Formats: sequence, C-alpha cells, structure tokens
Amino acid sequence: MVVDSDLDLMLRVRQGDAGSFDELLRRYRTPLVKYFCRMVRDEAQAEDLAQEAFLRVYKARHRYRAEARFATWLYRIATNLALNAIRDAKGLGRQDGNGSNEDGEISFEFVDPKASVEQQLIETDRGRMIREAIEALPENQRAAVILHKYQDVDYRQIAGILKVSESAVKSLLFRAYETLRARLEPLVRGGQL
Amino acid sequence: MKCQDREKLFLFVQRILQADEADRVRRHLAGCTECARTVEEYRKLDSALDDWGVAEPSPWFDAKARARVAASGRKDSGFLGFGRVRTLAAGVAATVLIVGALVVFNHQKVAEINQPLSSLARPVTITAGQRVPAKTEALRKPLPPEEQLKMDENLSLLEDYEVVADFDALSELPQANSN
Repeated sequence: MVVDSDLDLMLRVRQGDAGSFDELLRRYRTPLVKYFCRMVRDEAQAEDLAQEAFLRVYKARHRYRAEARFATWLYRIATNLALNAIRDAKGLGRQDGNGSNEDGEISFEFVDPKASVEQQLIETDRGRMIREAIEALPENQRAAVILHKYQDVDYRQIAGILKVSESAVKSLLFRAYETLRARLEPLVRGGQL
Repeated sequence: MKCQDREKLFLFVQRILQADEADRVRRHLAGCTECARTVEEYRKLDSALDDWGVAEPSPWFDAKARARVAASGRKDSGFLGFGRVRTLAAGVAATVLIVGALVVFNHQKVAEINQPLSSLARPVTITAGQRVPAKTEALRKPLPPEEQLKMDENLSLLEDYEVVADFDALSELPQANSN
C-alpha cells in the first residue's frame, strides 16, 4: 500500500479534498497537542491552540508552497501561536525570575493558574522539576529544546521554524542544555530527587 | 579536537555533528576521561528529560478541529465547495436583477412610443386669418378604411424598438412659427 506524503495530501487539501485534511489531522494531532502542552502547559489551551493551528493550515492552504516541508510549515504556525499565547499569558500568570540574560533574551517562569487538578496529580516530581526548568528558559531556547527533544524535529527544520541559522540552532540548544544541566543537577547526578 | 570543547561534545551526544567531526570526537573520548565524563553527563541529562510526559489529545479533538474548519468554510471561502455554490447563487441573483431592470426599462420606452400621437404633439396655434396648413388639415379628417387598414398593418413596426428609436414623428409636423 502506497502511503501518501504530507506534500501530496496538502496539495489535495488545496483542491478541497476533505479526506486528505483528515489524514493530516490524524498524523499530526498527537505531536501537535503534545507540543502545545509543553509550550503552554494547560491541556485545554493546548488542544485549543492545536485546533487553531489546523484551522490556519486550512485557511492558508492556497499559500502553501510545494517546496516547503509540511511539518516545518505546521510547526512554524504552531510555534507562533504558542509564543503569542505565552506572551498573552504573561499578564495573567505570575512571573518568577523575569529578567534579561546576557543575550538580551527575556526569561520568565509562567505559572498557569488554570493548570488542572488532575494534571497536577498525575505529574511526577521529576516531571514537575523538568517542566519548571524548561519553562524558565528563554522563549527561543525553550521552543528549540521541545522541538528537538520531544518532537524529534531535525535541527535544520528547527532553523526553518524559528527562522534562524542552523548554527544559531546549535548554539540555542547548547546554551539551553547547559542551563538545564545546572538546574537539574540533582536529577542528573543522583538519578532521582 | 581541543579538550573541554563542551559545545562539540554536546553536539556529538545529540548526533548533530558531521560524520568526520563525530569520528574525531569519538577518537578523542577514547583517551580523555574528563571529556568522556562530560559526555556521560549530557547523556544522563538527555535521558532524565524523558520523564516529562504530557497528555494525549482528547477523543473529541478531531471532531472539534473539523467543526472549526467547517465553520470557517461557511464564513469565508468555503470548504468542499459550499462557498462556490454561494458565489454562484449570488451571481445568478445579480444577473436576474440586471436583466429585470433592462426589461422594465425597455417596457417603459415602448410604452412611451405607443402613446397616441395626439398626446405627444405640441399644440399648433392658429391665429385668425391664418391659413391652416394642408397637412394639419388632413390629419383632422378620418382616414379612409383602406388607409386605416394599412396603418394597422404597420403597427407591428412600433413594437420594434430599433425602428422606432430612429423615427421622429413630430418632425413631420409644421412648427408653430413656420411660414
């Protein structure tokens, strides 16, 4: 059985094929919802943003260029949505340790007041510690780490998503991991909390 | 490679280095315990990050996403042809309106043309002693039956707007101040 590429599916969506859109939805719903969960934490908001990302893909289907990789395009839309949501939430949530680092990037820890009770219950201490460490990273580093580590996106694609050079992606990832290594030292050295 | 080049060690662990560079790092690690320890730390950190699990999409995610797309399609360009049908309907409605307006306009023109000549003719004032023009005098007399029949046969011409448009009936009448 021949599996259609994302590109083929997207070209058919451009022509109004609902079945192809459903297939893209099936392929990317889980990675996209998980990406938003890690970027904005709140599950309900993550689902809402993922649906919005698919809606934007549909609305912009005529602007999709065949030479652009679909996943890169989708994650670029998703990243813009996530970063906007984080910036919007800055005024609602509590910010700890906000300030600029040596690169002028703003770092803040966003504590979502809407995080569900269920979510708090199922989250392990290790998971909470990792989440807080990653949430405290500057926006670009945070997006780069999540895309690279959890979404399995190639660093060349990350460059396309964040609109930076490939060497800048390597540098972003390295600095982010250095920060995480310091913050998660107990976890790394002791193996547990 | 230079010892303590942490970025290169990190990129090695992440498999981001080019093959030849990765080979150089591998050879260096075989003889450098310090760098080997750093690499091990990065591997442990990478492994520790696996513990951050998040939720799966809810069972109704697809239905909600499709509903949003469908709602958007109804609003603007239209998904799966709904918009095209609406555009076509608007086009047909506009055409019907334009054709209707043209029909009404033409009907009014024909109605004006079909008015009796007497209602269109300007009154001719004849002062005492002035001779009534022969043509005007002739119009007062009833037509003989055969002439009336000819006029009735020519009435169909009046329904042809193209013919009537260029026909100036009043030009045949003498002007009040003529003669």
